[in-house]
Amino acid sequence: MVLGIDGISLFLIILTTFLFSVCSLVAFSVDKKVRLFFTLFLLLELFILASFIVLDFLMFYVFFEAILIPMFLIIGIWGSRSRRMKAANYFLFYAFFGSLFMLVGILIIYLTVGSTGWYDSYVFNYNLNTQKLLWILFFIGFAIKVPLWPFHIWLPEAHVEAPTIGSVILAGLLLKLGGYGFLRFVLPIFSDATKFFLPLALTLCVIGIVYASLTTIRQVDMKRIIAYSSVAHMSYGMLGIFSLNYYGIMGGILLMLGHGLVSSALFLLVGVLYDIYGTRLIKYYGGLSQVMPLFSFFFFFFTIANMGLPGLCIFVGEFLTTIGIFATNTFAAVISALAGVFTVAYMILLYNRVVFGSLKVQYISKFKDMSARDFYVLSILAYLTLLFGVCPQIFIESIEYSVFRFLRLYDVK
Amino acid sequence: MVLSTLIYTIMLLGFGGGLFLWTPIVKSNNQIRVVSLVITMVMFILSCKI
Repeated sequence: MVLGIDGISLFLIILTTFLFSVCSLVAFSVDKKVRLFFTLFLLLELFILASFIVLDFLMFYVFFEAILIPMFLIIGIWGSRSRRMKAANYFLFYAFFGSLFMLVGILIIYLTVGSTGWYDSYVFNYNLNTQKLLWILFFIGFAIKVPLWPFHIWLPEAHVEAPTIGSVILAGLLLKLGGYGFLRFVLPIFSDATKFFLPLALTLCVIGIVYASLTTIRQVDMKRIIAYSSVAHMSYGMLGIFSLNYYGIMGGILLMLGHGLVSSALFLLVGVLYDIYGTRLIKYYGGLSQVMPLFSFFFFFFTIANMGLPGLCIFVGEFLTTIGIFATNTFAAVISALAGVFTVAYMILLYNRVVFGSLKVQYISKFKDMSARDFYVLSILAYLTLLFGVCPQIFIESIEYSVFRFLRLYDVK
Repeated sequence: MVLSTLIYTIMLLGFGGGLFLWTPIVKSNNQIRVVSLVITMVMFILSCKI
């Protein structure tokens, strides 16, 4: 098994181990089938880490598929409502469907190259038609994982029904596997096909950003809002990666990392509310600033972070992505930048409805703020969000060599 | 520590940790939670050393 780490995978690995540490602290509240839960939890961490480390198409596929089993069980057994089995089936069906295309692609690679190793595949000269076929097969597999429009249907469903930890891992890590797959396995190896399909990829990303942003505005479930917001942010990150220049790729990677922190924190915050009041529907909330000041503060902090406020982590990624995409396709850059207005609209609307206004005493009867454990967990996430936003060069310096190397590999190919 | 050793150690911790939870040494739910927390923390610290 060939393993390897570079600047692109390094911070995704650290993000994985960090979010799992945070989740294991939050998972202290799990009281159903505890042993099985934590076993699946540790196996899930192992499979995600392995996916980021292996440099072999077949082994990547094995670990990519293996992730489905613990995640399916976590949603199906520890999900919050009776619809959890439907959501788990959605997740399994979509991910498995996409992976089958990948498997066919891997078989073609093996029959053509005689090996499934990353390097063997990179040095092999595929003809354009084979490249196009392989590009489409891998694109479907990774686009479902990201998820890009129109492959995104499974995500809001899985997020809403998954337990808080499941949502954090889904949004914070599993979606990044799609982006990582594009960067590692698709763009540098099938570079001619990438140039050919670039307009298609950019179109899907732009539609994804606008569609997900508009859909988010009319949602009534808080988790669904954050899930659709994740679709928009990940599509934006993919837009950066498909811009195929330094700023776009760097922005895409930073956006993925920033989104991993902010969306995880937002899901944890919704989990805090659900644990206390038992609902995620916005209409039952109002005036929480009067009874939950700590919650209101953190919710505000991560709301503005999600909107891309300068000084916080998402901004760095969005800014660099916008610069990168402007150089490649001005129209896509303008449309996607304008969609940022919708992000501000739905996040402010969400915060306003939940935290301000008069207290709905008919629904909010428990006057209790977040626990000390939640406070410490969110404080760590807030600190990292701020650090990432104020000193992004810490991360950029470690990533940029790998981005230059990626661009050189792409150009040489 | 050599990078490959570090990577294998991290991965082994995830696999070994999952198996360890089913041994008779870990009895109560609280012990399971604490052991999982320690394993994930160690994995995080080791990944930072990469």
